Amino acid sequence: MKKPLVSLLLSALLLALCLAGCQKTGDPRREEGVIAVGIGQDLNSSLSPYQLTTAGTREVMFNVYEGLYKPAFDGSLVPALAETVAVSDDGLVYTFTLRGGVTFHNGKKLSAADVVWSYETCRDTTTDANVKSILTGTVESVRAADDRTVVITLKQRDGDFLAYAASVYIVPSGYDKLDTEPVGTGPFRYVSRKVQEEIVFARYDSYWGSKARLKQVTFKVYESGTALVMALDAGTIDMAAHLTGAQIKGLSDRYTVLEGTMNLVQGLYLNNRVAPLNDVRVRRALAYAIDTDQMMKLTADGRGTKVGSAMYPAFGKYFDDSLTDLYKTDAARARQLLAEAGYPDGFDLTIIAPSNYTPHVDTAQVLAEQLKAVGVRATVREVEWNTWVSDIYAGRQFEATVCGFDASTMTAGAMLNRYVSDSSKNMCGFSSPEYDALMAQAASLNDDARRTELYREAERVLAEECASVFLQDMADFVAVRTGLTGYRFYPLYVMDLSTVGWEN
Amino acid sequence: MAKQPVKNKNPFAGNWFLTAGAAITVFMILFTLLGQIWTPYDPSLPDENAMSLAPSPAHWFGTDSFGRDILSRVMNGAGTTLLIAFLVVLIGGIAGVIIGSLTGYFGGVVDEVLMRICDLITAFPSILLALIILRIMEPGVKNVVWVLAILFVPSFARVVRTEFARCRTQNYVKLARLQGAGPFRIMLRHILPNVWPVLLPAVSIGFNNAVLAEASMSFLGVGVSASEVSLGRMLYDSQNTILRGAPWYALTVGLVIVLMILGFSLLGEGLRQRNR
Amino acid sequence: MDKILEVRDLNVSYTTEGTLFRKKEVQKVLKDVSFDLYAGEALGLVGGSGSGKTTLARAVLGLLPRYEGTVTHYTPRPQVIFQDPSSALNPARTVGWIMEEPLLIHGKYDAPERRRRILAMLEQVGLSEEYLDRHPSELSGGQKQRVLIAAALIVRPRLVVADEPVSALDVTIQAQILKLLAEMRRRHGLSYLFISHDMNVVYQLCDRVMVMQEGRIVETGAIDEIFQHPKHPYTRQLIEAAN
Repeated sequence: MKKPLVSLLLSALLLALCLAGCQKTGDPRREEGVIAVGIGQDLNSSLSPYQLTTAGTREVMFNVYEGLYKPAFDGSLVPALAETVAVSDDGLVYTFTLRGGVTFHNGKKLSAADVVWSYETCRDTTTDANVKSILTGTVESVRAADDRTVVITLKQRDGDFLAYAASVYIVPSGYDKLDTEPVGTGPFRYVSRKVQEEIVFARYDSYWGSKARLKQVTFKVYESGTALVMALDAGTIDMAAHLTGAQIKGLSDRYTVLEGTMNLVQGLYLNNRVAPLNDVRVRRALAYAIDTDQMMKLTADGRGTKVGSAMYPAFGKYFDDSLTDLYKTDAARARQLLAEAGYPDGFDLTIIAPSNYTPHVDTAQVLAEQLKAVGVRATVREVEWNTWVSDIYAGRQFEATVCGFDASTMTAGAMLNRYVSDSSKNMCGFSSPEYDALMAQAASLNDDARRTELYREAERVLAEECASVFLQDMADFVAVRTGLTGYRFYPLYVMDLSTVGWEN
Repeated sequence: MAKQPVKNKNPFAGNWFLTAGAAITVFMILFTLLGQIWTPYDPSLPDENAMSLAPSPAHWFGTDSFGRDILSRVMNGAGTTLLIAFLVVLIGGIAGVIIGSLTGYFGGVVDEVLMRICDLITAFPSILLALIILRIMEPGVKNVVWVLAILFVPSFARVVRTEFARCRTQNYVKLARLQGAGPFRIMLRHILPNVWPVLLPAVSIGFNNAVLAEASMSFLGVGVSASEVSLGRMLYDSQNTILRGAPWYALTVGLVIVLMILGFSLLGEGLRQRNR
Repeated sequence: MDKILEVRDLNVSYTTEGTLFRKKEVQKVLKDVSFDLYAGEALGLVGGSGSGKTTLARAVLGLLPRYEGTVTHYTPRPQVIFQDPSSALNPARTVGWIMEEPLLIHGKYDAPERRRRILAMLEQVGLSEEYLDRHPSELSGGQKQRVLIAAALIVRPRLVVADEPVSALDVTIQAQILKLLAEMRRRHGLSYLFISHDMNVVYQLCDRVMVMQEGRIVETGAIDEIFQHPKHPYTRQLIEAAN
């Protein structure tokens, strides 16, 4: 009898203390020209440029590392450590001329030998399967012609090669402490890290390009969405990205909310290997049953961009918005398709959602209700992120899962290769000879217009065969302290802080 | 020794704890049972035209961020919570009675081993243990029940063991043995009925703790999964809104939990007093 | 006369638990006890507290885990009437249940027959049918002892060990219970091993008496003989104490 009362009193007391602790403080960070950024998960244990397995680590380390080229915020590729590139007429020989006066964060001057060493190390150790297959399969040789010239020879043409060149980061040759003390050429240099707590970057004053506006950036780790929101309320951090519609609701007016897109395709991904999802009519029935607009209204106040295939709008020419309404919500049609497939009374479906991604869990809950309306008895099961990666993504032990797929490079292949029958990334087990042929043909072409046409054709096959139910590119809300300007969204999952600074 | 109630005496007379506890508990059970057959709105159907509404005559407890009626969800979800509590107490209680009676009656090595295991379980902070086990298994009603049931065994086993150890030296047990009753007959028919008076308050407190444990575990995100509605799960869903814009969600769910455990606590206290 | 119990050279000793400061000690409680008990006979066992009476009763009932010598029964299971009726009656059960349970264990009779026997026995011990649904806590000391006697006799034993059955009762109730015991003995042809510290009580019920001192039987004989011509000084002491 006594215990619960005591604990109730205690929690009330704690709450009061908490509220008392959230007093407004001055703005010392503004005066010093530094900021604190809240991030939703800790970085990978290794910070090596070739071990950046999670998107959350990649977006942060984007500020430290650079490749020969780098993506710009409009999606184009611009020269970075290479000043110019000359491509031979047959498209097989790339001759890069390195930019002069570039130094690494440890003071060493950039030379062609560093580039060769970096390409070799990347080829041997990278965890990115797309990059690895290019470096081992497509690239014939990488050599230093002189101190400022690197020649890369390909075995076969690849129109996307520069995009890959942007994701092979260049580090000082022979440097062996990349895991713990990363060194690059970017606008920020690594200072220190406390695991599961924070990571600190400082402006690199000898940066070759336009220098960062901020003196120092501290990334603070908040392992739960609630903690992140509380840190915003308390004013502990100046900026946080990837917030949800619910999280920005009621945010204090000290913050300005910027809206962009997450640059991924959120979908109800279906395991095409298991019955009844191996029947295209059943997959289409699910697509007809789902009302993406309602889902977006409920989970994000209607924000986000609908997609109809495995491609998000920021890809521009590759994105085909005519596929978006291929399956207009139609419950009668859904029931009819289920009946044709032999499931007039529906079936049981378990939708798995990674528990740390609230937006995916919310989406899964809404979809489950929509599916119930056509007789599909859907339940949502949350799993830990690690379990999701090992059992669902790698182990393929699932019927349906809600998650998002992003692109590690600005290439169509980064989004579309995972649906090729024999791809190791083919989580859904989609298998279509037509699709495989289109993808193979596209990769072999150098004519950009024709390639684009083939990729868009492949996307149409994905949508018509209903490989999965493609939902949306989610709205990405970034809360920045009022007075902090210059944040720009990229078509990739990156957080470029070099243009961010306090207004005078 | 536990006295049997004198026949025909009203057990509620003069026992304020028992009266209030029974009244609250009966009310909560009726509230929950009603929620399984009828709720004002569909408890799980989202409504994009009624998102995050404050309490009003149409929605007494308001609505959540998906536009679902919180009163309907609470009525329905209390069922999951009560079901978990019931199963936990049932399984934990049966296992506790079996272990407690064997160890209390026979003593010896079995007693030592089983009670040390119980000590081990008790010595570990139970929520921590539940967290660890549920990280390994996966969330969901079934696993929550198993984990909590295991954690609850020692509390029952200990109560039962003490009573069995006390009763086995009583003359009526010797007498039964002389009459030719075997050990299991003695345990089941002769001793067990003498254990009820101390077991009942333990069951009531157990219910109380199980409701709290479900709430804490689901609140920490290792309890029931997203499509199962329970009080703890709702508390978890409401945590983002507590201090910002929609405090009624956490408050109303919290109120129902408080009423539920208050009822069980008072009932347990009342039963204990009756035994005195 | 038929012999129904034979005890020969019974020796019982307890070993006290050794602790850090105390050595293990062996204590002899019964020393070379031998006696016979015949059908229909009431044998008294008298002695002061600590003389070993209760240990002897336990040996006869088969409740001792270890002893030397032999205890031979020529009848089925003896029954017992304990000294303290309140701990001998299951507080959670009713009179009816307590009386039915021995019959159920024996498992010989069907439900109507069990009920008939219970009612008959209840009447014999002087209780009415309405007591069937009472719990022990609702009974007086004498009523409890009556229930206990009824529960012991309902399985029709030949031998009953009565361990101080009346010493916890008032004098008037004592007389009633002794009268009941005598009547039951006559009616059912019972043998008693009747344990008491009180010579007077033994005199009222028994044919023969054994006097026990420090684990040894110091004198045995017919009850009148012993009362009139006690040989052992301890016997004399006990008779004096009773007067």
